[in-house]
Amino acid sequence: MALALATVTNSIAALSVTGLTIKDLDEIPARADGRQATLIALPSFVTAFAMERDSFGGGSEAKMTVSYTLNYRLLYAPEGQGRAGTLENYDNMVALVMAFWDEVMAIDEFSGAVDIVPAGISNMGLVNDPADNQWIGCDVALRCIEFVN
Amino acid sequence: MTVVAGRTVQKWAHLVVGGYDLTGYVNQIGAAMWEYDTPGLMALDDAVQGGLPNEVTVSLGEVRGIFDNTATSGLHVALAAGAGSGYIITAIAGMRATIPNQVAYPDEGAVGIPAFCGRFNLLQYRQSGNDGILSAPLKFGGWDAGGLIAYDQPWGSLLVHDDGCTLNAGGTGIASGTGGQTTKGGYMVYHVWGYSGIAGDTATISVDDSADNSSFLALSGCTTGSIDVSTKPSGIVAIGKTATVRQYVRWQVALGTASDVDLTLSFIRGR
Repeated sequence: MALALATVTNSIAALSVTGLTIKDLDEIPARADGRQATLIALPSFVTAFAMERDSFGGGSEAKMTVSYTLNYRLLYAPEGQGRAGTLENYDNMVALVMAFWDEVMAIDEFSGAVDIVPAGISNMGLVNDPADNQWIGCDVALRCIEFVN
Repeated sequence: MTVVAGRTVQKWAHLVVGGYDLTGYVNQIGAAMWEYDTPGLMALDDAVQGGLPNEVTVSLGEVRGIFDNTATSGLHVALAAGAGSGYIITAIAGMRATIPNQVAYPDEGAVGIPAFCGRFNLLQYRQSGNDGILSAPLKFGGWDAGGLIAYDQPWGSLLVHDDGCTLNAGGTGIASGTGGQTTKGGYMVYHVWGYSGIAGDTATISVDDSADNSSFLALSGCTTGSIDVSTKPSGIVAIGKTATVRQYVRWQVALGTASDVDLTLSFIRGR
């Protein structure tokens, strides 16, 4: 059994969160669509990669547990959108992040990974999209575990 | 999703105790032990110490529970009055797939997951707050001597862990054990953790076997008979030590007055 990152990112993109468009790794837009909240992969997408050898044997035989963190950026709304600017969207952005976590925590089976759990939220506030425009949003991290062999 | 071969993680483990599915109330199942003592049989001048396996000790060890008083199903309701009593237990090592939704019911209600089964004494029910949350560690001892059976192995195969079970008319089974037909009997362990109907409703839980995984017949003697399924019944039914069990086994329910049952059923093939 080989690493299945592509399957994992497909599975994440297939999560259904009302009001959120989740982009797969090959769908990152050059410029985020200001009409919708979007979750995209960060350039530092895979971090904290770790492999633990669980049994004897060479690489083709040994049972290994691989874990890694996948980093995404939530782009909720362009900065200044709305009459009251950033603050107008803040509570809805936080609610959407929690709705995303609800969806992740409710996962029973996840194609590609043995387990996937929330790993953290950071940079809540103003963040940049791929075109360097400022959005209200945050970064979210997911911790994945895969078995190899 | 079908059963995955290989390793697994805690996420898919299940614990059913005395007719209660406590999966959502525990986070660790203690060392499920199956150990034989080896009395010394060596002469004074033998060069190497050794022994032969003698009597077996089967025990579940400590289960880390979460203190929860949910009516009719919670850990406290299920076990708080039970220290000093024997409980029928099925600890399911789920293989990386959700139970019960991993197989289509009823066609493939047999799942074949390893299950550690037995009747163990609850030695201690302890409420503790040392972990930040209120926990309820449970200490299970060895097999309850008040309910000994003629078999010495606790590991078997899960046949079903599902709600809404009715007649298993066309379901296939699993080839429990490592080979084909055996003539060393076996035993089934059942829990009915829910039902549709009214108090006093009945059903019969049993095991079928087959030589070809297609044409099934009732495994003689491996049945509860008609039981009241409204009281969260659980139990062990052992057949004779020399009984023939064909290669494939599956679960079976014959409804009496109940409309369906929520059932956990395992079969341990004799060896």
